[in-house]
Amino acid sequence: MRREALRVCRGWRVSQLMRLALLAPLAHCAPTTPAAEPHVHAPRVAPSNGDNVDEPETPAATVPSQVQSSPPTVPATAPIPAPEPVPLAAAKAAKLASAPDSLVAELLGGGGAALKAVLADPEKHRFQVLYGAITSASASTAATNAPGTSSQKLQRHGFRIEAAGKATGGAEYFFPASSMKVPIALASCERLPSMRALAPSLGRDSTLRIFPVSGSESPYVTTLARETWRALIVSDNASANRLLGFVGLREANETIWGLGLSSARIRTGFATGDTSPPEVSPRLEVVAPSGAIQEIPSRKSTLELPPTKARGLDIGVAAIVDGQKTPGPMSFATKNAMTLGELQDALIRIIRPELLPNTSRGKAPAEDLAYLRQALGTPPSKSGIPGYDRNVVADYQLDPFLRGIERVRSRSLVEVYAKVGQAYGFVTVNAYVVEKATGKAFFLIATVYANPNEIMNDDKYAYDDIAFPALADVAEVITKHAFTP
Amino acid sequence: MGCGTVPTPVPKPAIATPPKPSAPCFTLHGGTELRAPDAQKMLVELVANIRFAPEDEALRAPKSMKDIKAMLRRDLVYFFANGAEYARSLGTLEGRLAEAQLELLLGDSMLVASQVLSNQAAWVGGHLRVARANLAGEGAIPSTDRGRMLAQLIVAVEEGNKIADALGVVAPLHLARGADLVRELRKEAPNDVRTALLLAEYHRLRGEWTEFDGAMRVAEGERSPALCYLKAMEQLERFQNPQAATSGLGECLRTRPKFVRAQAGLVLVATRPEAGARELARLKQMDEDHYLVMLLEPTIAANQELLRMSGAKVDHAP
Repeated sequence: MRREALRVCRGWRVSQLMRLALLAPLAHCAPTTPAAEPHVHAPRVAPSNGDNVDEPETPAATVPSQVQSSPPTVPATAPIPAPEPVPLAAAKAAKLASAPDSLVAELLGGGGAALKAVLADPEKHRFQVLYGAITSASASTAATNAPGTSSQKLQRHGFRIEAAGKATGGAEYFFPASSMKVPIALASCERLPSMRALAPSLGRDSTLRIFPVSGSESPYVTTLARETWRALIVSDNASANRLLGFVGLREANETIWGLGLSSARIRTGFATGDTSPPEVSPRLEVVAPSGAIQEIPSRKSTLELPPTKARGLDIGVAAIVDGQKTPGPMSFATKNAMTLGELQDALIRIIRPELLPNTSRGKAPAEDLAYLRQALGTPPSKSGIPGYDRNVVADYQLDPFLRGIERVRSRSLVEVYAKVGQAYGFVTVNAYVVEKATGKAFFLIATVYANPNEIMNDDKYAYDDIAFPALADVAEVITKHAFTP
Repeated sequence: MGCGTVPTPVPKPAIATPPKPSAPCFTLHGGTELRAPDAQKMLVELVANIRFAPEDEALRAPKSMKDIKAMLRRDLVYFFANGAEYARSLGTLEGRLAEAQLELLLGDSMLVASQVLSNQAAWVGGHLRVARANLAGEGAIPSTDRGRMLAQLIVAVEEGNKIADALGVVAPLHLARGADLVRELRKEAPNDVRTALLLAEYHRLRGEWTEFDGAMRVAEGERSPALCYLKAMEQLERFQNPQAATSGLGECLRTRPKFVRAQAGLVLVATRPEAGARELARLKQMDEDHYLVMLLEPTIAANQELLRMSGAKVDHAP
């Protein structure tokens, strides 16, 4: 075998000509090491720069909060047409109440040891599950169907969803982390038509030059397609920030509210080390096919986001701040937020909009929504993204449900559309699963908080020991329920 | 290059292959029966599947020498063959110089990549042996999480091995073509310092250090990134001194912070796993699509996961 011959460092005799092939990496080979010993160690997940795995978000700029009813209707001051505010009634109509039943609790009770451990103290783990069962076997991803037109029905069953009710301050808070990339990507599609007012040739594959907010560095050249692909498949934080910058902080929030997802609070971008304030959108240049440049000027959001309506915004007993342990809980009042149900709604809007009740259809072009579906349904190992392509480990880490689903159906028998969020001990997975042979399908979103020492930002979270196994167990019991006759 | 009498049949792939290169004096074939056209096809598909940044994507079909220079500066090995084809189409001395450089660097990169991928089998070899033994008892379809993961990892490593095979088959064609061009350039532009640099590269690749010294004497004094790189790699390959090579490559980067190939060299010369991982992370910062990132990351992730599954404590993601 050639590759054996190439392995000079492992004792093979090499001819003079063969040296040609081997010289450069010789340092890797000598001295001979045990076969199991790796030459290069790297983090278990192999994310590209800025992935939102175990990382807090970019510190929020100081934006004074003020109490407002949600969704707010502050007019945009940006030079781009602002999204149309949606009346509160419409927003409410978009919601699907989870049925007050015990189905999920019963199903979870039959789960594995990891799940049982979480169920033993669900409050501590801020454990919430929302299962969207689709009645009828002929499921299809009929994206062109308008909301509310499906003959199929979505019946939702929750576990600890909005358990506290409004009287106690709303749903229990969880940190959504990168799961917020789904609504942000959706907002980027929704805003495309409006932004074409300034740049008529703007499209998913148009070349975009993104100029730094400050400094005189060269623009970053990319496309919306590329950034969407990276943000959704490998959870690239820099890409998600570019999408957010493209949409604009005000426009992102208002667009998402306009879709009836009024609990969304996008306050910050995702951690990359870049300190650009999230409320400032960079100047963009769109390169038309003719080579002409169409400019979208820099924008600054003045939106004052209403407070997050959730209980339990103070989390932990201490936090690491600037390398020092600071006693007291950490407040998540200035961090991103969205209820579990509305995160699922965002995914439904992309994957199966026809299952939603009659609400605004939205403005996202059908082909752009199809692209979002394609991205959400592509595992990292098939993404063509260097570092992730062929990386089967990343498939599991970027979709903690996958292990559980595979216990019920082989991967080749299902399609899985999923996005994970993971930070500060929280892991949230938002997924849609289809059994190819039967068309049976379901939505599932769950969140677990796994931080045994209750110290925030210390990077000592129990993802592997608690969160991932429990979420796999959740996926297993729900998949069994959905796919087993 | 005394072996160049019989032209090798050249396939017509999307990734351009040089026209009628001399037959390589050697073959890296072993027990595999992978033919050059099949190997070429596999590599073409590999590159076609990669989603590059638009800046890089624009270089897939170069249109000027500026594009060629950008390709070299970014060490965009994926497109070197296309660049060589464009350079050849110019029919000028500049074109031939560029073509020779691209062919030599491409051949070198492919062989390096081939070895990197070959090494992966050694990295995870022990775990894979255990994995195969485990799966043997599980039947055709693994029934446990661990079994399913092991099966996936085996597939990932085996795919890497196939790529390594393909790279090893195709690389000699490019090296042979590069060598032919260098020979022509010695006649056409014997006093051109760029010819001297290419000659030095050629002799470095062959480990012919006396000839390398001669070429370097001609090139000495040039402020070329290639010269800096050659000196650094000489430390590794001639003097077996990775520390000096590291230092030399570091010096290249100090004067040219965007010299991607120098950073890639640092990955290759790293003597400790931690240093290798650190240099790879830096390489990713410079170019997240670099071919070494594409080749190394899946195996590193697989190895970490195998370690974790065997009970070892491994670092979590950053």
